[in-house]
Amino acid sequence: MQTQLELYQRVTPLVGLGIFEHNFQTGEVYWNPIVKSILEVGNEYDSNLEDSINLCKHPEQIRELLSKAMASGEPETGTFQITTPITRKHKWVRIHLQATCDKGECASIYGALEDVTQRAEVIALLKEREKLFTNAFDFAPIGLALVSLTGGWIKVNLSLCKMLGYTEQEFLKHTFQDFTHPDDLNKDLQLLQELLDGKVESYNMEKRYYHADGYIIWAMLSVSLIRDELGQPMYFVSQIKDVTERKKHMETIQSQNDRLLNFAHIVSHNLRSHTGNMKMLTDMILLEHDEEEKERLLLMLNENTSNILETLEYLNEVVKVHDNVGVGKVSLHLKPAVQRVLDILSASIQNEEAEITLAIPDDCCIQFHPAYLESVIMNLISNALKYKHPDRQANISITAERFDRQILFKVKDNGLGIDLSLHGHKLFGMYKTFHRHPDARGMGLFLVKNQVEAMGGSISAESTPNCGTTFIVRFELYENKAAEHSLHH
Amino acid sequence: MKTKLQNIACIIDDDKMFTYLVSKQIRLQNLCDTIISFGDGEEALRYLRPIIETPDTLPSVILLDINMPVLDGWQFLDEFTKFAITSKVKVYIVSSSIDRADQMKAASYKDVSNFYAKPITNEQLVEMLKDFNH
Repeated sequence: MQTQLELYQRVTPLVGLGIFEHNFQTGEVYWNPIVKSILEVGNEYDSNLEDSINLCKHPEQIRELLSKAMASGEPETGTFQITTPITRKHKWVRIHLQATCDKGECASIYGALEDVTQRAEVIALLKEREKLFTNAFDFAPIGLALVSLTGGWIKVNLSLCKMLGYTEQEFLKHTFQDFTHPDDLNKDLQLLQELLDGKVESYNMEKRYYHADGYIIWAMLSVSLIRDELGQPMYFVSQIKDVTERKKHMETIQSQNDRLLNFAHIVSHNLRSHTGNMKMLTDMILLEHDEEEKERLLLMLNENTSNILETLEYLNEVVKVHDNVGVGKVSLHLKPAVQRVLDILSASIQNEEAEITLAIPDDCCIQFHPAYLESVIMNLISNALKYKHPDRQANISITAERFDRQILFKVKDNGLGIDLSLHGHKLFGMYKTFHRHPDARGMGLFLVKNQVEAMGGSISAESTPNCGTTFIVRFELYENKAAEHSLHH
Repeated sequence: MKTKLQNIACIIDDDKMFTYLVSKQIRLQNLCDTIISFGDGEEALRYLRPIIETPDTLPSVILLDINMPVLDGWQFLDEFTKFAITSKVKVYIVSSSIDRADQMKAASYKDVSNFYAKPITNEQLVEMLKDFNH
C-alpha cells in the first residue's frame, strides 16, 4: 500500500487538479506543479496573492469570492477567465477555495484549481448558437412554430403572431387544428401522419388559416419532424408563409383571363356572324340577274354593314370600361343619381303609366364612376319598364340599404320575369335577350355587369316568371383591404 | 293529302338575314320542297310539338343556331329530344361559335348529326340536305 500522501501525489496529476495555499500569517505561498503547469510558469516561479488575483480578467470577481469565503468559512466555487503571467494565454479556470481563521483573523486560504478552458469554449459556442437560432426564429420574416405531436403550439415566432392576429400566450392555449379551415384539415392531418410514420421526411401544402378577426389567410406550410436519439418523434417544426396576396392576385388574373377569353369569343362570334352574311350576300349579288332582287340584296348588305359598325362601337364601349378599372371613382350620393335618371325617363314612365316607389336614405353614399352609375341605374329602370307585364300596371320599387360592409341597391318590378333556371347562367351575357321585344338588343345587362365589376361591385338577380324581377347591385362601402376578406364569424 | 315525298327543311336562327339568305340559296338550288324558319327555340317547339304524331309534316332536317333569345339551341335540343319521333330528323348545329366547348357539347348529343361553323359554304349546305335528294 502507498502512503496516503504518495497516493495523493500520484492521483492529482491524473485528474489535472492544481492545489494551492496562501498563508497570511507567514506569507508563504504553495502551488503544486499542476497549478504551475496550468499557469504555464516554471518550477521556480514565485507569486503573491495580489499578483495571483490580477491574473484574472475581472479581478473584482475573484475578490468577491475571496471575501465571501473569508466571511463564511465555507467552501466557495467560481469560474474565471485568466491570462497566464508569462505566456499571456487566455484560459478559463475553476477555483474551489476555503479560508481558515485564527482568533477572528483570516489565517490562510487553500483550495484547488482546474483548467476548464475547453469546456467553457464549448459552452460559449453553444450559447452563441442558441442565441443565433433564437434570433433567427423570433425575427424570421416567415411564420415559424414548434408544434407538439398532438397539434398544440409549443413555440411561435413574431411573424406568425402577426400573421394570424394572436398573441403568443393565446397561441399556446390552442392547437393548429383550431385555426385551420375545416376543408384543409383532413389533408393536413393525413400528411402529418405520413410524417409520423416515417413515410416522408417533410411535407408542403397550401392551406387556409383563420385570422383572429375571422377572415381567411392563405398560407404555404412546410412541416418537418424532430426525433430524439432513439428515433422517437418529439415535435414538429412548421414554416408558414402568408400567400394571401399572391392568391388574390392569381384570382384577379384568372378572372381577367376568363373575361378576355369571353370577350375574344364575343368578338369572334359577332364578326363571324356578320362577315358570314356579307360573304353570302356578295356571292348572291354576283350571281343575281334580276335587278330588283339585286337591289334588295344590296340594301341588306348595307344593313349588315351598319350592324357591324354598331357592334364595333359597342365592343369599344366595353373595352373602355375595362380600361378604366378602378379609376374615376368618386363619392356619389345614390338618391339624387336615381332621381336624375327618373327625370330623364319621365316620358317613358308616363307613357307606361308606371308607378315608381323610391326608398333610399339621404346619406347613402358610394364610390363609383358618375357615368357608369347613371348607365347602371338607367339600364335597370328601363329594363323594368320595357319588360312590364301586359296585364297589369307596372310597379317599380327602387331601394337601397346598408348590409354589412356593402350597400344593396335593388330595382324590383312586377313585370314579365325571367325563368332563371333556364336563363340564369347567361342573364348578364352579351347578346342575350329573353323576350321578343323590338328594342331588346341583349347589350344592356352585359354592359351594366362590366361597369359594376370594374368599380369593384357585383350584380345578381332574382326572378319569378309572370311575377317580376329584382336586380340587386352590391356596392362596396369601404375601400380598405379588410372589407375584401370574407367574414368567417 | 301530303305525300311522303314532301321534303321539309327547318331553320332555327334569330339572325333574320342569315335565315333569308340560306333559304334563298336552298330554293335556288332546289334542295328541298319546303322551308320553315323560326327566330328562337320556343317558336320552333310551339310549331313542332302539335305535329309530332304526323311524321309526314315534320321536317327531315333542322339547321339549329345556338345563341338565341328565349330558348337557345341547347334548350331547344333538350326539349326536342324528349319527343317520341318515329321518323328520323337530322339536326345540324349551325353557329358562329368557334368555342371548342360548344363543339364538344354538340358531339355529346346523339341526335346532333354534325356541327358547322358560320359562314357555311354551299357545299356544306348541299351535304346537309343531300339525304333527301337522291
